[in-house]
Amino acid sequence: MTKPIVIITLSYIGGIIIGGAINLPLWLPFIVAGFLIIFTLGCILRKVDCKLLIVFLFLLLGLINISFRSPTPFVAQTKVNSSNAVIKITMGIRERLMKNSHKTLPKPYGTLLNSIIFGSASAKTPFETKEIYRRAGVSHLLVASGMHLAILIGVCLFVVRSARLPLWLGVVIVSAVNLFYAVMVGLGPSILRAAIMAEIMLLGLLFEKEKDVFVSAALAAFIILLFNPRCLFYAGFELSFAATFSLIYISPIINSRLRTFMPKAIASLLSIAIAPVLACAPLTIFHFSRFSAVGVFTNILVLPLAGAIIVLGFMSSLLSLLFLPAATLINSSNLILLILVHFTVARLAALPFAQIYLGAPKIPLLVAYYLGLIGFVYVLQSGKFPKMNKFRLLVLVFGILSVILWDLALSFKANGLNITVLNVGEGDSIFIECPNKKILVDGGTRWMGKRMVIPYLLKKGVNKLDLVILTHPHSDHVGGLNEILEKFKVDEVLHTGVVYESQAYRRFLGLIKKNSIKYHLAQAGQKIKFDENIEGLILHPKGGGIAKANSGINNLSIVFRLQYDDFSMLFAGDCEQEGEENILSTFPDSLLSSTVLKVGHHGSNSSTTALFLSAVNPEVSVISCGKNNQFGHPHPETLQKLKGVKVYRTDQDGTIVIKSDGERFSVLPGLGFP
Amino acid sequence: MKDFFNSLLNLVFPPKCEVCKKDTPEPLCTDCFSQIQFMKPSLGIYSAGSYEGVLRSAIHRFKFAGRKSLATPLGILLVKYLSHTSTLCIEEIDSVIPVPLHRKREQKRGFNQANLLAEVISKYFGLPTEHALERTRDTKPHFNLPRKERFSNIKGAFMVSSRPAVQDKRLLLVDDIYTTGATIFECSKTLKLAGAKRVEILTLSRTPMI
Repeated sequence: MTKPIVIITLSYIGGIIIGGAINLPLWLPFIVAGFLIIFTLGCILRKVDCKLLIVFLFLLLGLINISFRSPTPFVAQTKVNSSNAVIKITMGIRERLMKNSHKTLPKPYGTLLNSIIFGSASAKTPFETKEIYRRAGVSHLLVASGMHLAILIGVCLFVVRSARLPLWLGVVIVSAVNLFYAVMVGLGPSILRAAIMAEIMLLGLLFEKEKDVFVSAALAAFIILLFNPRCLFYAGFELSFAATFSLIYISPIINSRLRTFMPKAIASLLSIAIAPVLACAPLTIFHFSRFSAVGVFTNILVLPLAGAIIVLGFMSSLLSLLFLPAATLINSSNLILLILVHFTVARLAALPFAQIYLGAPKIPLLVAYYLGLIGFVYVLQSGKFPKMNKFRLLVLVFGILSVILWDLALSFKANGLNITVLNVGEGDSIFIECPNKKILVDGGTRWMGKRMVIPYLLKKGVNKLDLVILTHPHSDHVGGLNEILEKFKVDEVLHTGVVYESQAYRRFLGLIKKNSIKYHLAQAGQKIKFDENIEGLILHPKGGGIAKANSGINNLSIVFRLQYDDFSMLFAGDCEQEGEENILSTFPDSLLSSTVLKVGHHGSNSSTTALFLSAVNPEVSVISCGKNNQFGHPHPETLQKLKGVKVYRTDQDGTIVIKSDGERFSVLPGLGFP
Repeated sequence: MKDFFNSLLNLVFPPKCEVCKKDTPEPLCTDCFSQIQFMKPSLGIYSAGSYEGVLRSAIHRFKFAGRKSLATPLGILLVKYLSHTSTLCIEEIDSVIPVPLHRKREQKRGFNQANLLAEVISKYFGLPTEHALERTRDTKPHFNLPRKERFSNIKGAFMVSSRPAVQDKRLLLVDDIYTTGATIFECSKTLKLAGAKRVEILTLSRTPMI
C-alpha cells in the first residue's frame, strides 16, 4: 500500500466515521488541531519523516468537516428551476429530451426509458415502479451511474477519435459531455463517483498515464466527502462504491475461477451479476431492511438488454433534438427491449419470495461480513486455504466470538427511552422505544408511511408494535398507520373514536376490526403504563368518543404527556387553541410542565398559545412539518413565541431522535436517516 | 513548477510498469527489463532482442498505446546492447539516423518511435542524430503483407534530404522492429547511394524465425 491517495482517503473516512459516531464538542477538534500543528512543526524542524502524520492530519480533517456540518440530508439537484445558468440550461435540455421520449413511446415506457437514461429522480418514476425494480433487485437500473456513463463516454471517445480531432480537443469535448450528463441527472453520489472516475480516465489519456481504478475510486470518494461528509452515511454513496469495488476487484477473480469450467461469455456475465450482490446485499439490508432474493437471476437476464437500451436511448435522445421521426424509429425498436425488460422484472418481482425482509444487521456483524468476504476472495484468488497454525486459529476464534458478543451487547440496548420524531414531511409520526415496549404515535401520510415509517421500523428490527396511537383521523396522521397495521403485528390501538368520514379513517377502523386488534378510546385523565417507570397521562380529549369540538376535529386530538423519572415530553398532536384552553382548565400546570414539547399542529399559529406554552415550559421543542409546505408551517408567530426554547424542525433537521435515561436527555437530529 | 505538477500527476496516476502493471517508479520495471535477452547479430544486422514476451509487449505499449515514456528504458536497452557487442564499435560511428515515418503517419501517431530511440542513443554516446532521411511515399503498413510484396511496397519510398549529413559518413541506422528487413535495407540502400561510407543497422527487436 504505497498509494498516498488511498491512504489519505481512508484516513479521511476514518475521521468522518469517528466524528459521526460521537457528538464532539465543537472546540475539541481545534485543540487536537493545535497539538497536531505543534507536532508537525516539531517533525519538520527535527527533520523526522513522519508518514503517520498525514494519516492523522486527514483523520482530523474528516473529524472537523463532519462536526461542522448541519445535518441536512443531501438532496440530488433535479429541479428545473435553479439560479445557476448552467444548471438551468442543462435542465431545460433534459426536460425537452424527456418530453421527446414521451412523444415517441407509449406512456409507461416513455417514463421507464427516461428513468433508465436520466435516473428515477429526474424522470419522476412512480413509487410502484421503483418498488417493483427494488423487489427484483435491479433498482440500480433506475439510477444513472457508472454503466450509463461508461457507455456514453465510450461512444463519445469513438466519435472523437474517428473525427481525427487533436487529443486535447477530444478530451475537452468528452469532459464537457461528462459534466453535462452529470449535471443533467442531478449530481447524486453515484453519478458524481462515476463522473469523477471517468474524468480521471480522460486526463490519463491526455497525459499518457495509466489510470489506477483504486486510486480513481479513492479520489472520487475523497472529493465527494470533502463537499458533503454526510454522504458517507447515505445508502446511495455506499452502494455505489461497494458495487464499483466489487466490479473492479471481486468480479475479475470470480470470472477467472468460473472460466475454468464454463464458456467465457457466461462466466463474465455471471461474475458481473454475482459480485455486486455479494458486496451490496448487506448494505441494502442495513439501509432498507430487505433483500432481493432473485437479484442475481434478474441481473443475468436483464443486464445485457439494459446495455442495449441505454445505447439506443442515448442515440434516440440525441436524434430527437435534430429530427423527431428518426428518434421514433430507434425508439420503436427500443420499445421491444423495454417491454421485454419490464416484463421480466415485473414477473420476477411478483414471485412471492422475491423480497426477503430482514432486521438491520448490527455494525460488528457488517464489518465481520466484509472481512469474511475479503477472506473468501483471497481464498478464491490464491486457490487454497491459508495454513492454519495455532495463532491464526486463535485469532479467528476470538474474532468470531467478539463479533457475537458485540452483536449481543448492542441488541440488549440501553434500558433508556428513545423517541424518534420521523421526518414524514407535512404530517406526524413519532416512534417511542421503551426498553420493553414499542409505541407508534401516528403514521404520516400513506405515501410517507410506506416510504419512511415502515423502512425505519424495519431498520430498527421491529416486527411487533405494542401500542399504536392515532391522535386524530386526518390523513396526514392516519394514512401511514393503515400501512403499518397491514404490515406489522399490533397489540393494541388507542384512538379517540371520533366520528369522521374519510376513506383512510374507514380503512383504519376496518383494519382494527379485521385483525381483531384490542382498542381503547382515549379519555382525559386516563393513565397508560408504557413500561416500567415510563408512564403516560392523557390530557385530552374529555369524554372519549362522544366528545364534540366547536372548531374542527383537530381540537379532539389526543394530547398526552410521557413521564420517565425526571424526563417528560408532551405530545400535543394537532390540538389548537380550544383544546389547549380545555387542558389548561382541567389540569394544574405541574402536570403539564415538560422537558420536551412536540409542538401542536405542525407549528401553526392556531396552536401553542402563550398560556399553554408557559404552562408546559419546555427546554426543547420539536416541530414536525414538511419542507416548503403549502400551509406555511411552522408559522413565524409560533417561532416567535418559542424564542428562548431550543427548536428542532423535521423540515430542517430531518428525523430527530431524543434519548433519555430518565435523568438527562439528548437530542440527535438527522442521524443517518433523512 | 513542472516537478510539482509531475508529482501531482504521479499521485493520481501511480507509475506502473507498462508490461507487468506492478507499481514501480520506472515505466519498465527491473524484473521485466532483466527478462529481455540479448541476441547475437545475424547477417550483419544488430538486434537487441527477440520480438516476443516482455520486449514485444513493451514495443506494443510504446508504439500503439503511445507510451512515450518507454523510449528511455528501451533506448537504454539499445545502449547496453551496443556496449555489449564487440563487433560494432560505437567510436567508429559519426551519426545516428532513425528510420523515418511518413509525415502523415507521424502526425497520426504523434511521434516517431525510431526518432525517440535514436535520441536516447545519441545523447548517451554524444553523437548527433541526423534526420537526413525522408519517407516520400505513404506506404502501406507492413504487418499483414507477405514478404515479397513488402519489398516492392517499400521500393523508392525514401529520399536523402540533406546530402552533406550523409556523404562520406559512417552511420548507425535505428529502427524498432526487424522482420524481413525490407524497410531497413531500402533505407540502407538509399543512404549508400547518397554516398555514405558505411551503414550499420541496429534494431530494438527481431521477429523470431519460424
